Amino acid sequence: MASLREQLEKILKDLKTAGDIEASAIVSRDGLLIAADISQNVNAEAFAAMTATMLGAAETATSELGKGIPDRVIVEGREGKIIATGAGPKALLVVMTNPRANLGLVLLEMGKASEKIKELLG
Amino acid sequence: MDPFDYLVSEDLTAKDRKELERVFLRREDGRILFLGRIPLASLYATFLAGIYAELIKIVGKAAKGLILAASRNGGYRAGSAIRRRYQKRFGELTREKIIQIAKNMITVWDKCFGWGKFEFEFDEHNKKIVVKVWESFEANGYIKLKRKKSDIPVCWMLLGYIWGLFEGLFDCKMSGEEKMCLARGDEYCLFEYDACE
Repeated sequence: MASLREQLEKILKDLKTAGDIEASAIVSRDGLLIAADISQNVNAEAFAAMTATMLGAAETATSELGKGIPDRVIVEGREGKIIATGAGPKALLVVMTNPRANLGLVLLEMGKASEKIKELLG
Repeated sequence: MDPFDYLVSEDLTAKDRKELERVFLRREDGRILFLGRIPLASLYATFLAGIYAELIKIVGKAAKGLILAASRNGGYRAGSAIRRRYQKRFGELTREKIIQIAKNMITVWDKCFGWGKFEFEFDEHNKKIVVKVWESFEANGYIKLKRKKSDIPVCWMLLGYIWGLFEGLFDCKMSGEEKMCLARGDEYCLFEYDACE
């Protein structure tokens, strides 16, 4: 039986096979790294804190404006996209894609992965 | 004696506050220098707790990750600077020496900085480092500001800074957690780190 960490890492590995996804991470709502499939030259802990902050700030902004809780945050740049979405009450799923990524497909795969993470972490 | 040599050469745990302050702190008009060159400043503990509270209002729970990551980076810079300076001056930095230096650093925080009353244990068998802190300034700041218990541990800066310091000294990644916290109603704050091989 695979450990929880191994199961989470497998979700990230499977996500990568969907294509266009260069890196991914599961992050706690308070910005701590749970699992990552990310290059060695990226500070994964800092990346986790930054992405949780992005989503946290977006939640505060939309709540303040009476627009409810956002489903996801998408940051688009010339070199790629960063997408952060909730994966249950305890975690977030974050991916980095190449700039030409098919956003619809990536979001679909992220939705499936988020459900699996939610089942595992609650 | 050079303060750095004193920090890395002697067992400071039994030294009294006056002697440590005399060696490590240089007071000049408008500033205090640690190790002769690092500026220090005393702040109200409630000020730090207030910054955390404001940050939570903006980014929610993610504030913890931000403070922790920044503190861990700061601790890492300090730990790796000590490691490099030691290696340049004295050669190989052994595991035993790292533990001694860490104990000395913690003694200075305890007796000169007012960060809390520290106790340090290194469990060689289980490769665990346990740091207990009575009267943590972060927890006290929280209690004083909020006037109530916290649901979660609140010593994010201490957790991260000590964590990074060890990672810098050992030159490896570790895991860490605040297991107990005065602000949550525990007797003291307890930080646990898995030491590397």
